[in-house]
Amino acid sequence: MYLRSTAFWVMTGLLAAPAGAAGPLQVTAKVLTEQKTRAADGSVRVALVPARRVVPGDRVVFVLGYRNTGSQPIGNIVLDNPVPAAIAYRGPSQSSAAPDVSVDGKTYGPLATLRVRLADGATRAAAPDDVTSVRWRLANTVPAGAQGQLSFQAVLK
Amino acid sequence: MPHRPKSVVAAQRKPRLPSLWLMLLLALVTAMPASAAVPAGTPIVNTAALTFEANGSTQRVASNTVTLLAAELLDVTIQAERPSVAVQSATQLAVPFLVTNSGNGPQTFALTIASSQQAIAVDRVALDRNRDATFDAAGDPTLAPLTLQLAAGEQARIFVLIDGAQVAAAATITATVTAHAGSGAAGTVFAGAGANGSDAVVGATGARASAVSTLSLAVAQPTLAKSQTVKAPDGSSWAIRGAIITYTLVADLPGPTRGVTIDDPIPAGTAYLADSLALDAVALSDRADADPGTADAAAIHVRLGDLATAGSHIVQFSVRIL
Repeated sequence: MYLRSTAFWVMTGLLAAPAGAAGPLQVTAKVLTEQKTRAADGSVRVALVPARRVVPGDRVVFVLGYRNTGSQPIGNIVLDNPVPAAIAYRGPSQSSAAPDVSVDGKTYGPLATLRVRLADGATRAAAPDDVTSVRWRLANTVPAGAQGQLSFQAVLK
Repeated sequence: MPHRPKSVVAAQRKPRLPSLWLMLLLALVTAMPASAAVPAGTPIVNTAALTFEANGSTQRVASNTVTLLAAELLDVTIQAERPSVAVQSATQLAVPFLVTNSGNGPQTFALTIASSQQAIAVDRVALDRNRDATFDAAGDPTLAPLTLQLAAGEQARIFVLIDGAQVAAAATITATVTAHAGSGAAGTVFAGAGANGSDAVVGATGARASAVSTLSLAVAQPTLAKSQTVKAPDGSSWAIRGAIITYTLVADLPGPTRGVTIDDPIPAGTAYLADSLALDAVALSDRADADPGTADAAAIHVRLGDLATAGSHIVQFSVRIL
C-alpha cells in the first residue's frame, strides 16, 4: 500500500500477541519507526518498521489494532492510549482518524479546543507537546469478525 | 472485511513566540543548556486500553505492552573560545576550547591536539575545573590521559598550554574530540555501547568534532568578546520575562593601548539592573564619579583610559527581561 510515491508502509512486522484475549475484542499495540533506505537511483524510501532503537528526535508511530473475534457486533468502543512521558505527541497518522486528545487526562477533544492552565492561573492554547493521552471513540459498531487500525505520530523527546 | 475509520487530517498548531523572545532565544542558543532530551537507556513503555459494551456492561481490555529503550545519541561539538590568540613571547599560552556533549547520555571523549608547526609542542591540556574561564595552574588539573567525561548536555572548557617562546611564526592549534563509544557517519550503530545497555547511534555531528585556534605573532588588534548567562526566576536558564541576563565583555588588549573605552547599549526589551556594573570583578557605581564606570537606562560605559601593558579586562553587567 503506497502512502506517497516515495514512502510505503510495512505492516507485516511483529504484530504482538494480544494480551486481552479473554473477551470478544482484542487490542494490540505496536510502535513503528521510520527507516530510510536510499535506492540505487538516489530516491529515498521511507518504510515504517517496528521500533527497536530510537534516539531523541526520532519520529515514531503508535499503532493500535482491534478485532472483534466474537459472533456479535460490538458498540461503544473506546481506545485509550496514555502517551508515555518520554514521547511527544505530534498528530494523527495520515491513514488514521484523528483522535481526541487530552492535556490533563480528564478533558478530551480536538487539540485546538484545549487549553493549558499556567501556574499564575492564566491559560494558553494547548500545543502537541502538552498532550498526555490520546483516545478514539468509534462511532460505529464493529461487526463480528471485523478489525481496524488507528495510529498517531509522535517523536522521542 | 476491514472496518476502516474515516481519514481525518489533524490541524496542527505551531507555538508562537513573541518576536523579542524569539530574538533572545536565537541569541542565547549557544548559552542554553541542551534541551531535556530523553536520557539514553530510558525505557519507554506503552500500553493501550480498550473499553466496550457487551452483555449490558462496560468491559475493559488492555493491550500488550511495548517497551522500547531510548538509544544513546553520540554527538559532540567543540569551539575555539578564542579563535585568534596573540602570542606574548616567553609566556605560557592557555588556548581555551569549549567541548559540549550534545548527546543524551554520559560519554567519555578522547582529545587530540595538533599544531601546524612541529616546533610547537603542547605542554599539557588542563580542565577548567572551576569554570572561571581563566587558566589557574593550582586549581585546573592536567588531563591525563587526554579524555573528558561529560554528562548529557554538559559543557567543559579545556586549556591547551603552550610555551609562547616556541611560537616563531603564525601557527594553528587544532583540537579534535571523539566519542569513546564510536564515531563515523550519522546513523552508525554501536550495539550495546550506550548508557544502561542501550545501543549507541552516531548523531549529526558524527560524534567527532574539531576546532582551530590561530596563534599570531603580529600585535593583534584589541578584541572584545561578549557572552551571557541567563537566570530565570524559576532557577532555569530560559530567557523568559523577569529573567536576569548577565553579560560578560572580555576586552583583550594585545599590547599597550591608549584611550580605551568599552560601551554597550542596553538591549531593547530589557532593563539595566542598577549597580550591576563591574570591572575585573570590582563593582562600579552607576553614576559618573571617580570610578571608571557609568550606567543608565540606555547604555553602560567603562573608561579604561591609557593602558601601558597588554592584558585582559572583564566588564560585567546585568539586565532584566521585560
